Amino acid sequence: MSLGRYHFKELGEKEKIVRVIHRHWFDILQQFFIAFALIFAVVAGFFVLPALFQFETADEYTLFLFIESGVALLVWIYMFLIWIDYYFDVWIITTERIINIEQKGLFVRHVSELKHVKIQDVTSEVEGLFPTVLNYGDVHIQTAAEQSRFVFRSVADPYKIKGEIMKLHKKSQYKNIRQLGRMIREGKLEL
Amino acid sequence: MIALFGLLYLVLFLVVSITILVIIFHIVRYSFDKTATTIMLVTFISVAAVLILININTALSLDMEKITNLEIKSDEFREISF
Repeated sequence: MSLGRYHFKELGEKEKIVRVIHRHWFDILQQFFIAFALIFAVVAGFFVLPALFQFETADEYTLFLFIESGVALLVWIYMFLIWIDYYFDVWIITTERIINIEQKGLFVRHVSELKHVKIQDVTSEVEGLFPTVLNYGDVHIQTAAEQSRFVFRSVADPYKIKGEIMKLHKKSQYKNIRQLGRMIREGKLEL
Repeated sequence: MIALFGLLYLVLFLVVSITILVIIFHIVRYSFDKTATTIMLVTFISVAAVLILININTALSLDMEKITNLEIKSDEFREISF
């Protein structure tokens, strides 16, 4: 996966993005059902209503177009509000940490991060017919940090994500041990 | 009556405009992928602009007196029948 095009302002010098995770597409599709139904109603209304009511004057047709365009605009905005809530809920796994960004509505945004070395346990959960068939579910990360639990909700291939996080956690532990060993050898740390 | 419709439309238009600006702000500020940002902005702004133009154009073309007169005439009819 080419992640060169992603940019995140607070990345460290040697830190690299390993994976950027959004919720599974089926999660947003469920929310878009209502929007699709409304779009269908708008489009169908555009063709059916003039035939049903047979507008006699230009004013009636203008009023109809005014209402149709207004409703279409509101539906379009509604779709993009759903999209923003989906797209900006993101989990970024880097070589050093996990960043959890949650967009709750338009004006509430929570950003938290967790260093790999603070991970205690990782659990993946796939429950239900659609999650099993489409292979999506939750990943729970138990931590020793201030926020004791990170949850990746409705993400694709949770087992693979769990494996990657565990790998990065082990790497960070080995790195810490090597650093400790070097500090002892160099006399920077006295036992 | 016409002034009331005009005022209501203006308020609604302002609310919709602010919502659109907020959406654009979010796309520009918080997006991580520049290609996705461009695609989202172009898609959203183009469709929203077309719909807004149609809406404003039809709103300005509406003859509110005729539409409100239709209501007045039906009220008069009810009074006479009663």
